[in-house]
Amino acid sequence: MTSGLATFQKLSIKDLAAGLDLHPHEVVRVLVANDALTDDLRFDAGTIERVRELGGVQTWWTSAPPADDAELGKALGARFIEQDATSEEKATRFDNLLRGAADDRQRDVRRAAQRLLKAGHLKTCSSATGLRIYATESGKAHLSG
Amino acid sequence: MSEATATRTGLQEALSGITSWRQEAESRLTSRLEAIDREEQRLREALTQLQAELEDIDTLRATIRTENGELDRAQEERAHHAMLQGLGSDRDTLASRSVELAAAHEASQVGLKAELADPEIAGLITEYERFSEVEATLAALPESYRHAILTHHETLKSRLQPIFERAQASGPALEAEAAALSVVACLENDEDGAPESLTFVLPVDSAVYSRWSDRDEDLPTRLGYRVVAMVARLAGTLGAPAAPLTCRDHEGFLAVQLWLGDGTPDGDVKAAADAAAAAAFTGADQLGAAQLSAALEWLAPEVLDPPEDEETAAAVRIATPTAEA
Repeated sequence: MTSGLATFQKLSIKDLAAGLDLHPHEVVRVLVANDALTDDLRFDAGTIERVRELGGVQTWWTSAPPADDAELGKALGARFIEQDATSEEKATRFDNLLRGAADDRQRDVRRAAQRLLKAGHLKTCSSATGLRIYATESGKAHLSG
Repeated sequence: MSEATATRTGLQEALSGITSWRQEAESRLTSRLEAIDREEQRLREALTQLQAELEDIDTLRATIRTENGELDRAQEERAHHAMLQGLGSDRDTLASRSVELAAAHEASQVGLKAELADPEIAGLITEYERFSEVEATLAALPESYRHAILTHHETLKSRLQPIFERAQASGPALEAEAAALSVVACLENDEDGAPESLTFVLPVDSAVYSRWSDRDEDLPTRLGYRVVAMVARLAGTLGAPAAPLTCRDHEGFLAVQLWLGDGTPDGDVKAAADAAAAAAFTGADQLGAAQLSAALEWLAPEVLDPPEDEETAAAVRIATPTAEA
């Protein structure tokens, strides 16, 4: 495809997914939840930012997650407090926890989240735009510390 | 010896005759008893044989009753294999039509690409692309400048509009025989008979989900999008918009599952799913262009996931024509 042709062509769901670092099926869910899925599955360039906003897509790791488990748990907890994901109504997307972390570090982040979930400091809930997660009342005190 | 002792009396003769009679009678009776013994032995042997045959019949009856009881499971197992074969066949059809459709679309763009390579058009496109770089600074420019730039950009847009439309047009429809695809649907109820989960298995490789970034956004991929969208909309129709929706592999195929066990869905789940699927597949432009249609095929949970154990395997073996032969 020439760059000229690309200029005129609309974005595919895969383009949106790549632009957002979000699974295409999650992109579809965000679009459906906001009645924004087009019949031809083609979208304007502005749709990336629209999906980011409508889906609450955030990048939680702009630098590498700490290598130490305890430090990683603290860093993860701090982000819940920073983002105010402290109730079911304010729950953040589960995939936000991983976004920005390298593929081989995402497993560590998942484990850290799993430990906090087991301890009751975090809780997951389902939503029309995908799995969400938030800090519980007990978790807020723990994660703030 | 005297003459008197040498001659047997009439009585003696008579008694001797009786002895002979007795011996003959005993011999005759002994023969009859032996014949009866032989007959008894024959009958007893026959009886033993019949008893053995009766036991064989009892065993056969029990075997047939067992097989009869396992027919349901054998049927489910066979239906499961049929499901996998059907999905595999439809997956192949979908994949080959996808390749044909992509080739047709590519061919339809050849003329457009040649036109884009024309220096004059290429220059216009470069100007058009540069506009996005200066757009953010427009507000800072004097009104006359801003007006001139915007007017020029609108002129550019008008000139490029036909190219714009052709670039966005969907490819031509295939001239191919119409084919139908099945999307397997399965509603599982809980112990009380309430809907618990709704699963759709697509004639699409699960790699569409697990390896999406390595793949082209082809027809199978787009069918996956449409089913996810359909299920998400269905969740809303059933009054459960936040119901957990998961995608996973089901024996190599993409499965989309909606969990309904956390509440009570509104209305008839199957009817709502049929309506949602009809709307989703009818509106799927690329399916139509590939001369394909799709519809739900409802299967029982036991067909989707038959229990894997030795009894089931035995039931299948019993019910197969080869085993019967």
